[in-house]
Amino acid sequence: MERQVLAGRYQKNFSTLSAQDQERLFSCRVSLAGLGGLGGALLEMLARMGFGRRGYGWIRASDGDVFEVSNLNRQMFCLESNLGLPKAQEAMQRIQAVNSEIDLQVQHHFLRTEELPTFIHGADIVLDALGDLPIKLALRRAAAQAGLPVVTAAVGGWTGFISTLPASDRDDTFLRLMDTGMDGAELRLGVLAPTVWLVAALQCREAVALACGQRPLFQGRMHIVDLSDASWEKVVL
Amino acid sequence: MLLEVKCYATLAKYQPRGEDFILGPSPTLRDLVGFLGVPETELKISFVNGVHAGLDYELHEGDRVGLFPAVGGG
Repeated sequence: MERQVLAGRYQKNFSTLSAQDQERLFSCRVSLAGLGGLGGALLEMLARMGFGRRGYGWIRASDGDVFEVSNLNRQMFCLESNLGLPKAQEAMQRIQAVNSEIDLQVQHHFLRTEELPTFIHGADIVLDALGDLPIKLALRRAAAQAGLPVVTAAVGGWTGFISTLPASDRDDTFLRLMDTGMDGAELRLGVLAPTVWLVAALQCREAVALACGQRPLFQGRMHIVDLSDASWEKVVL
Repeated sequence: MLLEVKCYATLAKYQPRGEDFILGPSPTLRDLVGFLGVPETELKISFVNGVHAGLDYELHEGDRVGLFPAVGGG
């Protein structure tokens, strides 16, 4: 594609974003854990917004899974034609097609707790799109220890939540409340596309706030969105 | 006692129909959870009027109660 054609790529980000905000997104370094339902939609939005532009910032993403038929109901990058292929590889291909300016590094690898400090090293923002509670909480803990802001979110059925731990906050009530062994609701209720994409959008919105130095929207609170009755609860933790 | 209760996700099956609860004197959140039949092992986060509250929290007329299970899907 000609450069001229793409010059207007970010035109519709203005004037809600200022030129300085857009540059902050370009310069942002993001570690995104998980490339399934939340992670796929989130990565697509990050790329379209202009996060991690080559030469300015980057996006580092990891997922060790391959696409399977049960992902088709909600995972943006999952196609009938790529079943059995690594999510990381397919994400790279998709983002190349969406915004080739993004400096995206992907790993076809399931993150283990001891690898989390390396995975988030050098990042400005940590985004949690993992699909399993224990490793989600380990990521939140690793980010807190590294002094990095982390945006945690999860979904099950029509219900989703998001909670940001700001860089400065070491006392994490959310972590204490969530941190006991219990199966997640998603195992019984499944995961639906509208819930996943909505919550991924909230994560992207929060990433913009963090990158642009605005007050995070979901810090110190857990926002619970429930699409069974269109309720939105802001819980002070 | 009049309460507004919402049971989320897997706890939706314990969602009460009405808003009037017979709980005895000085009821706590634990009393309500027991009254609804929600197993404490399925409850992750409870909150009242938009603020996290433990099960020992003493309920007041008109409180808005939320009961939330573990949710971890991505």
